[in-house]
Amino acid sequence: MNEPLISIAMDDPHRHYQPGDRLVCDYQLDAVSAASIVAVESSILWLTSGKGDEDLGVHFFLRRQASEAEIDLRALFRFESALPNSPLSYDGSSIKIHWLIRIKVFLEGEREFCQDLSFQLGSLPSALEATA
Amino acid sequence: MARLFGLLQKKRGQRTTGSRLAGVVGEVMIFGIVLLLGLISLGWLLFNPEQTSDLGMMYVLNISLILIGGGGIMMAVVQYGISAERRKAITLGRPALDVMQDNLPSAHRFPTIPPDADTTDSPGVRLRYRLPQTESHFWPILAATLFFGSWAIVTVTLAAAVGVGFWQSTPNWLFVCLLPGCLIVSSWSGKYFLQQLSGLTRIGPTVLEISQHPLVPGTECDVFLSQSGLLQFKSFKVTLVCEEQTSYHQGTDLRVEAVAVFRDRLIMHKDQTVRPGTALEDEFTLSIPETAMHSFRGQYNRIQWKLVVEGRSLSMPTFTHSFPIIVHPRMKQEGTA
Repeated sequence: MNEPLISIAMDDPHRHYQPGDRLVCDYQLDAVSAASIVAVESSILWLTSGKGDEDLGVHFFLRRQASEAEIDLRALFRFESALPNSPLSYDGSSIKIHWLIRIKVFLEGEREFCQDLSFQLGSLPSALEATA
Repeated sequence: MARLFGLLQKKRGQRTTGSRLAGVVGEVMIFGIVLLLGLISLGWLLFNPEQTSDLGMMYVLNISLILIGGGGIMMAVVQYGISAERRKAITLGRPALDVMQDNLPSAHRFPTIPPDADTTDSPGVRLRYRLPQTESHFWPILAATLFFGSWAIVTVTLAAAVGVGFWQSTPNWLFVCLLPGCLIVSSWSGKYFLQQLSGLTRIGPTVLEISQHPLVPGTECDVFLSQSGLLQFKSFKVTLVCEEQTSYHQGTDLRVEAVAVFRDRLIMHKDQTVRPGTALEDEFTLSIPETAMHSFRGQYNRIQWKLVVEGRSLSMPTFTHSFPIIVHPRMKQEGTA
C-alpha cells in the first residue's frame, strides 16, 4: 500500500514567527482510506541536531483517535498555539535548534507515517564568530 | 575512495537502523528469558525440600530477575505503543489538547533556559548581585591529598621493607627495583600537592559582582571584580565566553565536548601584585552582542554564557575561575527577537 499523503500549511507563507506569535496550522490527509486510520498526532516541537545526542521538546501536542471521533480524520483540520519565548531557532557551531510541526499518522497493522514542516522562531543569525 | 573507520568520532547517518517492531520483539525476547529464568528458579526454590543457608539471598536474586524481566517487557511494549512526542508531552504534563484551545501555560516563562535563582540570591557589596563560582577548591585538594598520601605510605612501607632486607642481609630485589619508581611518583605527587596547597592559601577569593541579571542581548551592565591573596600576577584577565556544550554516547561511554562560539576579553592586567589588605579591584562594562543566542539547557546540549577569570603567576600554576551568567532572548517590546 502507498504512503498516505500528508499536507501541512502554516498561516505565514514565509514560516517565520516571533516568540508569542500565534501559529495557525492546517493539515489534511489523502491517498488513504478513512477506515484504516487509527490515530493522528499533531505536535509543535523543537529538536536539536549536531554533535550531541538529540534533545526534543514538545510545545503543543494533540492526538485524535478514530474511535473517539466520529469524523473523518482525513479532512482538513486546524490547530493553533501561541509560540513560547524560548528556545529560539539557532544555527550554531555544534548545536542547531530546529522548530517544526510534525504530523504522525498511525494506520492499521502497526504502520505509521510522519511528515515534518520546519519553521523559524526568532531572528537569530548563524553562530557568532569566535573572537580571540 | 572508501573512508576509513573513525574509531574516535560520533557515528553518522540515521539514528534508527532497523524496524522498530523487530527491536521491540528482540527486547521482549531478552527480558522474557530473564523473567522465565526468575520464575523457574523461584519455583525450584519454593518446591525444593532442601533448605540452604543462603536462601534469603536466593529469593532476592530471583525476585530481582522477575522484576527486571517483567519491567523490561512492560517498558518495551508501552514505548512501542506511544510515540516519542506523546511520551514527551505526557512527561511535561501537556496531554492532548482540545481543538482551538490554547496551549497549557508553561511552568516557566522561558522554557529550556536555566533559572537564575542561584545568581540572584546573593547580594553584592558594590553592585546588585554577587555571581556564584562553578569550581570548588575542595575536590582538587582532596584528590591531591589522597593521591600523595597513598603513594607516600606505599613508598615508606617499601623503603622500610628494603632497609630491613639489607639489614638482615636478605634483600628482596623486587622491592629494590620498585623503590625508585615509587620515589619518583611520590616526589611528583608531593610537589603537585604543595602547589595545590600553596594555591589554596595564597590565592584569595575571586569576587565578581554584576549590576543586573539576567542579561538580554544588546544591553550592557556593570561588573565589579575583586581578587585578594598574596602573590604577583604576570597577567590577570576576565573574558566573556559563550560556549556550546554537547554530550553524546559513544558505545557505553558518555563524551562531552565544548566549543567557544564567542569570546570577548573585558579586562587585562599585567604585572600586578596582590597583598593582604590591597586586593586587585576593577570595575568595567560587559555587553552582550545584539545577535547573541540566549542560554539554553537541554538533556544533552547546552549553551552557556560565563565570565572566565584567568590568572597567571610567576610562582604558581595558572588558575581559572568560571562564573556562569544567564542570557534571556529579547522580547517583542524590547526589540526584535
